[in-house]
Amino acid sequence: MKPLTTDRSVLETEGLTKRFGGLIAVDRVNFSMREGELRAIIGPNGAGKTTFFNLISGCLSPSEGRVFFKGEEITHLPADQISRRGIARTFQITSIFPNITVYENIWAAAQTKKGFLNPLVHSSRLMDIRKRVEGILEIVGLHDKSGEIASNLSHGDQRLLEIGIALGTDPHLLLLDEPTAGMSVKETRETMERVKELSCKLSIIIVEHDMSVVMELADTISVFDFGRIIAEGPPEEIKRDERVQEVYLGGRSNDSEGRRHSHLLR
Amino acid sequence: MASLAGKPEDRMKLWKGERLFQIGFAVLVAVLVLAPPFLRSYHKRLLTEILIWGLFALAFDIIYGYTGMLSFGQALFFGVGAYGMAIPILRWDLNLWVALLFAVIASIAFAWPIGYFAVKVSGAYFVIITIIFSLIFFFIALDWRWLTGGDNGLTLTAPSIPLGNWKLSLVDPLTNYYFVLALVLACYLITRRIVASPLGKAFQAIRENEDRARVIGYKVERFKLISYIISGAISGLSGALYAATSRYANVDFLHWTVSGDAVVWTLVGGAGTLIGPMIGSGLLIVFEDYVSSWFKNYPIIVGILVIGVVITAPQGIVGLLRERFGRKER
Amino acid sequence: MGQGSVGGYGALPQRYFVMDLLSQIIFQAVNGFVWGLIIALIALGLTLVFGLIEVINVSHGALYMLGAVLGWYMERLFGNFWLALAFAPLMVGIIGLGIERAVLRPIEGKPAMTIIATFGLMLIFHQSVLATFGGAPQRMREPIQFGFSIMGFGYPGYRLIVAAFSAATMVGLWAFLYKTKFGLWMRAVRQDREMALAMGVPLNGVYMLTFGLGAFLAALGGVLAAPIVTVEFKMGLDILIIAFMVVIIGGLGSLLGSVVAAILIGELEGIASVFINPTNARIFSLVFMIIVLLLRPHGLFGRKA
Repeated sequence: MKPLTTDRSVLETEGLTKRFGGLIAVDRVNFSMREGELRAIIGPNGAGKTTFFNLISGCLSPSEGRVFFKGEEITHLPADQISRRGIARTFQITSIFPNITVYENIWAAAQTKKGFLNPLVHSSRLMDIRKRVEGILEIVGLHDKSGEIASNLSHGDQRLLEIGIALGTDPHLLLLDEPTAGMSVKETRETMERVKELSCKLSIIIVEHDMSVVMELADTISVFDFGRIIAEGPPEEIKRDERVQEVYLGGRSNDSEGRRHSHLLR
Repeated sequence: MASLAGKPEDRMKLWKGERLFQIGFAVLVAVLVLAPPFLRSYHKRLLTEILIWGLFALAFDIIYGYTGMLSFGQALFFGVGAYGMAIPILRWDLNLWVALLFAVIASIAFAWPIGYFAVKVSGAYFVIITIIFSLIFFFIALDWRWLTGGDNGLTLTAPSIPLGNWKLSLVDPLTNYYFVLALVLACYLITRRIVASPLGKAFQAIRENEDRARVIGYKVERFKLISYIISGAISGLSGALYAATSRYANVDFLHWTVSGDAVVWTLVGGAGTLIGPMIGSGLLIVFEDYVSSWFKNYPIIVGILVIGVVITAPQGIVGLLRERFGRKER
Repeated sequence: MGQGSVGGYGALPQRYFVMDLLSQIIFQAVNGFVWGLIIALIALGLTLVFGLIEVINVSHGALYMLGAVLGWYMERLFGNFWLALAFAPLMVGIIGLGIERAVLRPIEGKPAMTIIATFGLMLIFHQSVLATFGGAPQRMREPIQFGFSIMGFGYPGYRLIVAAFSAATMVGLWAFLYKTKFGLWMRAVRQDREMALAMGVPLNGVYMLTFGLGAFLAALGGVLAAPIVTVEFKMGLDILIIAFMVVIIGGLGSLLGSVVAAILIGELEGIASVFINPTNARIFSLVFMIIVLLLRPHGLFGRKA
């Protein structure tokens, strides 16, 4: 079912660092992943996971270090160019186009790879984009809600639309930032099924706060803490890793943050 | 996207709304084409003026209603268009078509560099920077009396339209009216196509969520600039038509408070609907014409109306109709 | 007459006419400082309102105008300028409270809508004044009729009193913001709205008072300026732009920045007007402002957002 991951690297970072004033949010991260992989990034709140995404997607510019996508350097490229090269992302806090329909939301993303946006052709004539949008609606399961105004969707559906918009750009690498945040248990399970299906076609990095969600899913898990990768490996190995347990089970005796998250490791 | 809506009942509603819109639009155009010969010349002129200001409001709708940039500076391009029409006719004795072309090119020549800088800032700063640019050129125009006539403006004789061997004089209000109607209608149809095109979809994505638009691959500043230039060109055209019709151009046209009129008309009619701003300007200009004969401080009522619309129905008249009849974005 | 032509405040009665260049420059420097302090008052109102409730108040100039017109009217009614100075701003401040409650609160958090609504307010104020007081420009007598002699040229004493009064008001404002409970609340709201609400700050009250205070400051500037400028219903258009410039250059929401920027602009335009006409001086400062906006969007003295 799942194709073998290739040896080619899809994403690599070298000493990636982001400082906000005195605070180091991402600290000399060397990250690398192969094409076709489904990678999970976990770690407590404030570990630098979202900042890491922001650096890769061009939403923030790194203070130091370099980012390579499919062997080409993309450090300091603006977000729109990175997107057109094939990296798409979703946001932890839902970021959709609220007052247009679900269909138009995905459409907006699906047309960006066209270099020239012809002002004199009616959008509905563009059959190739129409097909893509229909396909994505199917994948995220919003087909029967395509005519609805996005802001009228339920929270769960808005989270799915968020993914749909990202897929619209036809990415090679998809960055999912806590896609199931605020979803019910059932919705979470369904969404994870969809992510699993997607991972057959593209490389995915999924940031999760809750480790159990990604345990069965991911090929490899990277654990972030204080802006660094403290452990990396297959899920079973990560579960047993002492440093990870320290972070999650509150091994650091004075750290309330660690204890707070201990319930997340099952 | 009418054919693509999800549930069948939604599709029905959408289809019905679409049909209603098309019927309404056909009736409106028929009235605009057929009625004027039977109107008094005062009303012909009033209708002409409504079309021109409606076009100005339409230009504003592209930048605000579709791209989400609240500009209080579009009057600058209206003024440039008006002078772009008046100066070639008055000083260089050029014919109307050339002057019209010159006016539009002149407003693009202003909108491009100004827009280049203006789109670098957003939100409150954008509003202010558009006012500032508008004022700079207002003061320059005020100062350069040799070019603009300063406070007194420029007055021209009625230009005529050369059509092959023919010459139609704009002295006749009816000729003037049809001349304006043809151009305004053409502009409306073109912009309607633009907002339904991929480019228009990009504008709307930026309006809805600028940051997200960037992350899915839009070079936001470029599209904002394109929107700004399109809006500027159409504003310029409306200014040129105004100068040809009223036969004068004045520095006051450039003032940012003139842009305020377009903001008001667009909001009342329904931002982001194209037809709404035109309907809004029609209603308010007729209202002004009617009320100002016995209450010359009618802007008080306009002010109250604006505040009322902003608080209770920011989607405007056409927006409300759409909600009622279910016609979504085209 | 065009809408919002430049000038007015630099003009002096005939008896103060000065001749040589150096005196002119010194004179304009003094005048620019005085005028800068008045602008600072008005701009402080604008920046306070923007910083706290995120309203770009397009009617701010109209509130200034309303202060001036009411001041002019009351002075004629009571025959006493100081009484007008006491009451006119208070009245406008109360109108401001009402505006916040009735117009702005329903559209809180929608910046575009607040801009449009305050534009509507501007129309209402302009036309109401036009309807009740007429459109003719009025001049008001200076309440103090003595002149100073500085370095060989005369300067009207009233303007120095205005400068002192403006400065005192700013100190008062500072004391209000930093020494009273209400001031503390206002600063808390500016720092972190949610946190302030959680701490029990009455948000609605703070919003209302902030807008009222902004209106009060605009009107106070209006009454003070009334004897210096011509009073008419469109006088606020010009001031609105200057106040915007000050607020932007000073950094939106930065109070001290606004004061410094106001004096800077007062001086800049004042001294420039010795060499070029007031219109060109204004174009000059508008261009300066655009450069600031593009290079330092948070103002010369502003903090990063």
